[in-house]
Amino acid sequence: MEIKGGGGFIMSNKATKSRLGIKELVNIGIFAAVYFVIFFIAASTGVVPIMTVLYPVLSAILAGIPMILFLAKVNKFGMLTLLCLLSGLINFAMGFGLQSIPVALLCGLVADLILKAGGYKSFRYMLFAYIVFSEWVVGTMLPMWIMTESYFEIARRTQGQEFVDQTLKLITGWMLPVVIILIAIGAAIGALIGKRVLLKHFKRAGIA
Amino acid sequence: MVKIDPRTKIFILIMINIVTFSTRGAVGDVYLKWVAAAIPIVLMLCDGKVRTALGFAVLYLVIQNIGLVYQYISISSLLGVLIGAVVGLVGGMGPSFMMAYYLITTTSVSLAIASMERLHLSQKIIIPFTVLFRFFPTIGEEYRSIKDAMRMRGITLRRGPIAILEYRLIPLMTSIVKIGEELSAAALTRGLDQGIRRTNMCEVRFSIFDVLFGGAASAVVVIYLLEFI
Repeated sequence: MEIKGGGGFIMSNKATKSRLGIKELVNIGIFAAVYFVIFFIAASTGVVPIMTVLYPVLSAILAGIPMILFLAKVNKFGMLTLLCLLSGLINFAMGFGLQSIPVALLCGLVADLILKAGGYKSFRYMLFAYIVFSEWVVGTMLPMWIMTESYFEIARRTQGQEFVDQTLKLITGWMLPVVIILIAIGAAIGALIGKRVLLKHFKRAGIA
Repeated sequence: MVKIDPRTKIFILIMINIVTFSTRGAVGDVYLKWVAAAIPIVLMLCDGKVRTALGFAVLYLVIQNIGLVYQYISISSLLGVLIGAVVGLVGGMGPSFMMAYYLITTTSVSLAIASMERLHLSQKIIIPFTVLFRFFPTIGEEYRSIKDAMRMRGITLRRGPIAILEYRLIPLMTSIVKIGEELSAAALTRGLDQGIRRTNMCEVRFSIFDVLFGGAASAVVVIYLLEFI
């Protein structure tokens, strides 16, 4: 945009109407921060073997309130994709590998499309968008299934044979679809809690 | 005082992550791990953060040697598993954590924006990213204030999980959304949405130290990768 001057101000506003403005970008940032605090609280339960696989379910339930509030605020295409890109980048910086970025982008894009189909208003579409969004975590966990041996080599040295044996018992082939379904159920529960809170508190306070 | 370019800091963080987190299992790789841990500690020392650097160094040494306690307690006992988990997390993530800490504490927001602009990243990524990192401390502050306010009203967490939602998370979300609105208003008054190239006071430039530290980090990764060929 190379528009300057008084007239340009109106024109640039028109041009940015369907595109992401500063307000949307700031909202993405703050909700990503809240989401990550909750995500890390959930992920820290991963020291228990069963939670190593199931912590995304916990995170999907806990993050329901802030994320439904965020989805209620979303009114432009691309906001969820950007949030997912941030998630993927942070996870890469934390060392979960590059594969989490494409998976996160895919989930974000599909969730964005769902929201768009619902016209950014319908709760039913928000629920499905939140479910799809929550599945991005699967990308960080994929190495467990694709590179099982080498993945647990680290854990064997650092967390002991006991931990690895118990976790390996959980990582059989059928566990991946089970985890995906459980995340979806967790996300649905989170979204329903989020909806109740949204109606009870946030709508009343005028922030949704 | 030696300061390095934020871009180099990010590069070193990624390099250290490759070594400490790789699924190929370099955590057991003794000397590379020490070099990876030494880089952030030396950087902090060079930046005048002597106490933090020494604190991290001592903590890291203790955690690396905590395996000695297994002479006295069984590795499969509850205490043994707990210690193992802590060592696994803190010991494995140690170098990355120290580097991330150094990156965040020594990079001001405008410096971070300046260097991301130099990397030709889109505003759509720069703005949420900056807000994200600016917000972690804010969330902590707000949470503590809300906790204090609720304690004055006599509401503690002993009331159960619903109370946590009603009296902690919801007020927190409300105040965070408000802060976000103020933040975007502040950004608007600074003309951040005009799509015009903004000037920045911070000078972003590579120096000889960037070459030195960046080179050291790359060397660690190269040596590490060579072991697998």
